[in-house]
Amino acid sequence: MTDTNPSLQFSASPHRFGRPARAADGLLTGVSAGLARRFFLETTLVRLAFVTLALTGVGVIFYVGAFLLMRSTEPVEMADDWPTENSKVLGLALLVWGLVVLLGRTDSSLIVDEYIWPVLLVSAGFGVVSWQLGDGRRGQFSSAMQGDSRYGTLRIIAGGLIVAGGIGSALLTEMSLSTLGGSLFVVLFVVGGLALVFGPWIYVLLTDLADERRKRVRADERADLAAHLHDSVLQTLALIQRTDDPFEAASLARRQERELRSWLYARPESFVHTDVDLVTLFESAVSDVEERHRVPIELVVVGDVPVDDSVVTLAKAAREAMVNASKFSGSSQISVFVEGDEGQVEVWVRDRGAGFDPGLIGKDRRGIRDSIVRRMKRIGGESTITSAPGEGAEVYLILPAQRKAAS
Amino acid sequence: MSWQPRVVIVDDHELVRSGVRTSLGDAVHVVGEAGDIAEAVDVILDTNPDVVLLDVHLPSGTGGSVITQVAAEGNEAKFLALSVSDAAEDVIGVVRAGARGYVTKTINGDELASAIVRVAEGDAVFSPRLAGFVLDAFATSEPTPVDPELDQLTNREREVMRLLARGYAYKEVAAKLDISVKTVETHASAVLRKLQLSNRHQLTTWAAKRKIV
Repeated sequence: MTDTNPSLQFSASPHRFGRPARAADGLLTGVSAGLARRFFLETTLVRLAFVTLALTGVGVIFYVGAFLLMRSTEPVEMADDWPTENSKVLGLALLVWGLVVLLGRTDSSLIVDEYIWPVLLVSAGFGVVSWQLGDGRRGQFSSAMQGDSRYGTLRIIAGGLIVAGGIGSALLTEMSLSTLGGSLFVVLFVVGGLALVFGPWIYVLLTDLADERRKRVRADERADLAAHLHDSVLQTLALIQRTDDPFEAASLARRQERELRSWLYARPESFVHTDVDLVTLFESAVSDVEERHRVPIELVVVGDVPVDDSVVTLAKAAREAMVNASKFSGSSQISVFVEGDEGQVEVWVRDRGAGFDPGLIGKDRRGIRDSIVRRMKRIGGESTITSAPGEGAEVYLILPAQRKAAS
Repeated sequence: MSWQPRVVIVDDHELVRSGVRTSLGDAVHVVGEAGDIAEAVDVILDTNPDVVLLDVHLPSGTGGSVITQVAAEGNEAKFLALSVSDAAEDVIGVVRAGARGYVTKTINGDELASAIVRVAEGDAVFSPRLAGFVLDAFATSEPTPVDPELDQLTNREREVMRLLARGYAYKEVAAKLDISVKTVETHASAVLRKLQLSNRHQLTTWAAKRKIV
């Protein structure tokens, strides 16, 4: 088990000169084997060093620290062998326990009886918290952090209590000793205990969650970009294709160019909109669509809410609904009703035109899916499209008061 | 349409009057036109029409003063406000003065004709915008009204107003709420009555500062 060909491990690891990885074939958690490979040492030597250091207690902390800092050998999405990982963690806790009990029996000069229970408690706490960390690798830690997973939270609390108990009893013991070395040990103990409890937490927060967030932000940015391009450039191109007047085509192209430039280099939409109210926001969307598509739009706005990025995104989705109604319905009048009340905004865009079957929208028609449905989902809102052939269409958008921060 | 209401058109723009007259076609019988307040009062008292199509803005004042002067003479002509103006102050002003409805000039000929007939028959005419004003003016967050009977909308009335604001016709509102068109008309008339008689001083203050679309 320990004598696997090291070169095989090397070739399997793309980051062998970066953060060392735990070996998949290690005795306990692969820390020793991983370190040995990383620094070209004999695995047994490293293990011996750890065991020796563990006699002083420091080795345990080193080992745990190394476990946390080293990369997991399994990629995040492939780590579905959780029983193995958990049993490794439990094994570690048991080993620490055994060591402590053994040392306590031998009456070593470094570890005395009073430390047995504290160390035991700390290591048990660490085991519990690490179990949580193992969960985090499978993408559940983020939800535990948000309080969605009751068990995850319970485990953190339990681990924290155990460690606190350890620290507390250590403190009680130390008070009576009140020597300089003793207090120093207490400080180390407390710091170590805290690091054990919060280490995994902070570690997962900084790596897994950051990764997740980065991915989500990237996906959102992409969807945002696609929706914007659809609403602006694609539609202008469609308009240009339909117009017979070369001057109008040129003017459309120029206007689009200006708009695209300002969007690319200035991104004015991403600012906070203190100067805009609900009415002005929708008014500008309506007049823009009216001007481009020449269909009168009757806008009614009731109430007002502070305009943040979510509301601006809502207006964009509504604008897309207006554009669709102008282009496809053949209706001579479009009604837009906006109602804002206590942070919640509802929008109805209605036409009395041809109507369509919402179930029969082509996959390449990005207007409804990207610019309306997905946009609304992204800001924590909802969209409903009611239509049937010959009966006009109504697009209903709702942005609840409690919503996600805008993208 | 068998019965033709007799109509007077009041607007300071000659072009608008002829445009409205043309688009109404045979649906109504236009018996007179006027371009300012004094002329309007004279024409209305002379011709005694069923319905007066009234522009909100006239050179010497608002359409509201035409309504009050005609009413003072005991004439029972009904008024339908027709305007490009969307200022809440104007709309509420003319409706509070006694207009039976308010439509914007984007309305098409057929709809305008049926609105005139409806007003002639004693009903209220709501455009989406007027419905929006009503919802805004009677917002639930207002302080306790003086006269709850007049100063608040019932839930059903509010529902009707919201559908009207969304661009639904009476018939469609009736279908949507599963009630008869007659009931919708009753609700609309009740709301209009509340708008005209409500003694909440806020209504005027509200209209004065509200810039709504």
